[in-house]
Amino acid sequence: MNFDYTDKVKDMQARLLAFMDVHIYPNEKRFFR
Amino acid sequence: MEELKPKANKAGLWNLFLPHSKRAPQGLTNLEYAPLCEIMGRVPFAAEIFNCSAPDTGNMETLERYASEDIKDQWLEPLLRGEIRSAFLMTEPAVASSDATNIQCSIRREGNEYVINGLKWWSSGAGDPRCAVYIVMGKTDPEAPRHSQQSMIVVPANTPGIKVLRPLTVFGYDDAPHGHMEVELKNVRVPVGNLMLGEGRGFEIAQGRLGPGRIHHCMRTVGSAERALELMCKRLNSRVAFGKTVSSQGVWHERIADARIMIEQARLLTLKAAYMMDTVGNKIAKSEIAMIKVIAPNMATQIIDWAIQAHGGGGVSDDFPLAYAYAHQRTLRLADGPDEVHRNSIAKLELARHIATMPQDVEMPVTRGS
Repeated sequence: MNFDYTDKVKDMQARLLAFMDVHIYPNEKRFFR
Repeated sequence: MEELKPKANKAGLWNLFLPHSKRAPQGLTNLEYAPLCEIMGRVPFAAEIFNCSAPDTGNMETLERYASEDIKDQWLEPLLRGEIRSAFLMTEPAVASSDATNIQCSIRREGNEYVINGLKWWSSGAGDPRCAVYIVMGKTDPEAPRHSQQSMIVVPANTPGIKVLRPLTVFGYDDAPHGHMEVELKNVRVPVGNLMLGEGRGFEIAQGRLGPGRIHHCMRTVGSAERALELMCKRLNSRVAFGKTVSSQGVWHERIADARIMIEQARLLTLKAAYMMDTVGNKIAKSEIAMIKVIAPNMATQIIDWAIQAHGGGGVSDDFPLAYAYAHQRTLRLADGPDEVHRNSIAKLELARHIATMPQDVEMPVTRGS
C-alpha cells in the first residue's frame, strides 16, 4: 500500500493549481453571467 | 473562455484524461489523473479548459477504443485538439433508460448506409454550436438476444434529418451553450463504416466507456465537495451571530468534521477504483466503480447543502458557486445510472460470493453515459 502521490503527479498538481489561480478562479464570475 | 485553452495546452495540462493513446501521448493513468481531475472539479467550467470535460472525454475514449482509423482521423483528432465538441445520444424520453435494454431508437441497414430513427433527450453538449458529432445508441436488431440488440454509431451533427428540439433545464439552469438537449433523428443516413465494433455490440462499448466516464465524474465531485467545505469554513469564520463567530457554534463543528470524514472516505475509494482500473481493468473494477458512483454525489450534495446553510440566503443565489454545484451533483445521482441501479449491482456481486448456485458473472447496469 502506498498513500502518496508520485513526484510526477505532485509536480502536475502544483502546475495545475497555479493555472487555476491565475486563469480559472478570476474568470469564475464570468461563467455565472 | 476559449482564449484559456491554448494556455492550458501550452502549460502541458491538455488531454490528461486519455490513457494509452498514441494520439494523446500526454495522457495519464487513471490513478495519476484522479488528483488532477479533482482540482478541475472545484470550478464548473474548468475541465473544458483542459479538454477534459464530459461528455467529450467519454466520447473520445469510445472513439479511441472502438472506432475505425478513418473515423478517428475524422472525429477524434479535432476533438483532441479541442476544435469541436460532441454529444452522446442514449437516453430516451419514452422509456426508462436506466435499463438500457429499453432503448428504442432504430438503426436499420439499407445497402451501404444505416438509417436512424428515434427521439433522444439529455443529450448533453448538443446545444453547443461547436458540437459537430454524436455517438448514437440504438437497436440494429430488435429480435436478437436482449443484450445484443443495441449498437453504437457515429453521426455527424449536420446530417439531414437531425433536429435539436429544445434544451432541458436542470433546476432552472440551461447550461447554455453546452445544453442538455432533446434531439429528434428522422431518417438520418450515415455510411455503414460509422458503426463501431459491429452490430449488436453497443453494450460492450457502453461498458467500456462508462467506467472511465463515471470515475471522472467522481473525481470532480470530490473537488466540488472540497470547494464547498472550504467556502463553508471561510464563511463561518467570517460571520458573527448571537455574540460569537458562527464557526464557534457547536453544530458547525459536527458538520465540518463529518464533511472532512466523508470527503476523505470518498477520495480513498475513488483512488482505489482508479488504481484497479489501471491494474486489473474496468471490468474487474466494476464493483468499486459502482460504489464510488453512489458515494461521491451523495457525499457532495450533503456537504454542499451544509455549505449553502452556512451562507444563509446567499447560498441559494448565484453570488456563490454552491447552488449551481448542488444542481450538478444532484443530477449525478441520476446521470451514468441512478443510485438504485448501482446499489443493485453491488448487492448482487456481494450475494454471489455467498451462494454457490448464483451466477458469478453478475450483469452490470448499462445506462446513460457522459
